[in-house]
Amino acid sequence: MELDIREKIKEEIARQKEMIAKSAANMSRVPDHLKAYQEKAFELMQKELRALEDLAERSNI
Amino acid sequence: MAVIPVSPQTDITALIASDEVSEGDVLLLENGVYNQIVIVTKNFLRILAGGDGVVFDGGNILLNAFILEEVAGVEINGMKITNYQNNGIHIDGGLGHRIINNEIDNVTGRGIFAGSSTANLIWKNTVRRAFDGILLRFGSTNNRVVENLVQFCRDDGIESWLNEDENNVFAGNKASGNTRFGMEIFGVNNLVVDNIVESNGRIGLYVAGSDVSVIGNKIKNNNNSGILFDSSSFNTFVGDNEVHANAVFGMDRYSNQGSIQCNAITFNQSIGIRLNIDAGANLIYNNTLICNPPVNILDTSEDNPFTVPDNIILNNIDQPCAAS
Repeated sequence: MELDIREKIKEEIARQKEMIAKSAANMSRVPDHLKAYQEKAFELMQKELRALEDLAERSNI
Repeated sequence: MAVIPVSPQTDITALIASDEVSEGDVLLLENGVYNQIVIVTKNFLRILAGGDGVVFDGGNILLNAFILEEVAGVEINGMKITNYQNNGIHIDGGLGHRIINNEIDNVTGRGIFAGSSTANLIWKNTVRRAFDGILLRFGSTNNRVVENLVQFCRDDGIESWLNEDENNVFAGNKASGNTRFGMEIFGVNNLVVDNIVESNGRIGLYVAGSDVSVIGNKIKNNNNSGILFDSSSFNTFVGDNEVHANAVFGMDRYSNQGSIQCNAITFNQSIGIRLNIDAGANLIYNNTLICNPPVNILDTSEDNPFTVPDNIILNNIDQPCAAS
């Protein structure tokens, strides 16, 4: 069966949101000396989500 | 240029940011376990494993082992990366990185991720048990993904995500045992050559980009069709591939203007080449098709009530299964 690009983007947005929620919940477990780096990695996850959402908007999803 | 020794106790991100490190320097990592996130903020650094026991362990808490954001020409070579909660190596923007000979196992996201990045070499890495093994996304172009082994990923092995991920080369990789597709190629004008794609949970190679060339690959024992060309994969060239013993069709084509030449399509459990109802103007030429029951080639476009340009099926070897 052929893939539907809209479904593909929607699924990825849902998955990214789930990963961000899980990562936010884990933030308290990160050692203090690594917190700033983890926060940078977390920002990149949020940036990826924004890019996916922009893509969805451009694709009229 | 200097060679700077690094131990697991070194805060590598802070070291890179300091005046002690300049463009062109080599960071030589001694063996040991590094519980770190490395954020590379300078161009043309070479970060090399000094032995075969340089392990980055995220402890199932840390997100990425390496982050390369808007930098150029960084080499990461010989690392073992495990237990990270997002991507093993995360490339965001930038260009010209060399990601070589790393072993990435058990990460929640992708083994190697490149977003909006160009002209990277991803060579001889092993990725196991990621979500996707290697993913090019958000307009990642002109990348070279060569001789990697990608296995047991929970989604796809190797992927160029949408049409905008164009002009990439995927050569000599092996994608096997991944849950969904071995390779998923949405990018326009990607070259897929000499890969082995076997025993994946669904389709071996899914092609959705136009002008893609698929040459010399071995696509076998996948649990759905060997290759699926979806309706947007206009003008693909498909030559000299071995497509063998896949669980459904050898090739399943939904698109127009393809050229399928000199392939060996054998012992797939359903049809060898299926041309779907809207697939027209394809050339099926000089292929060898053996025992793909019930028929080696089925052109269903002939049943389309609307006009579909004829497919040309010419000079193929078409052998049924031997009588038992």
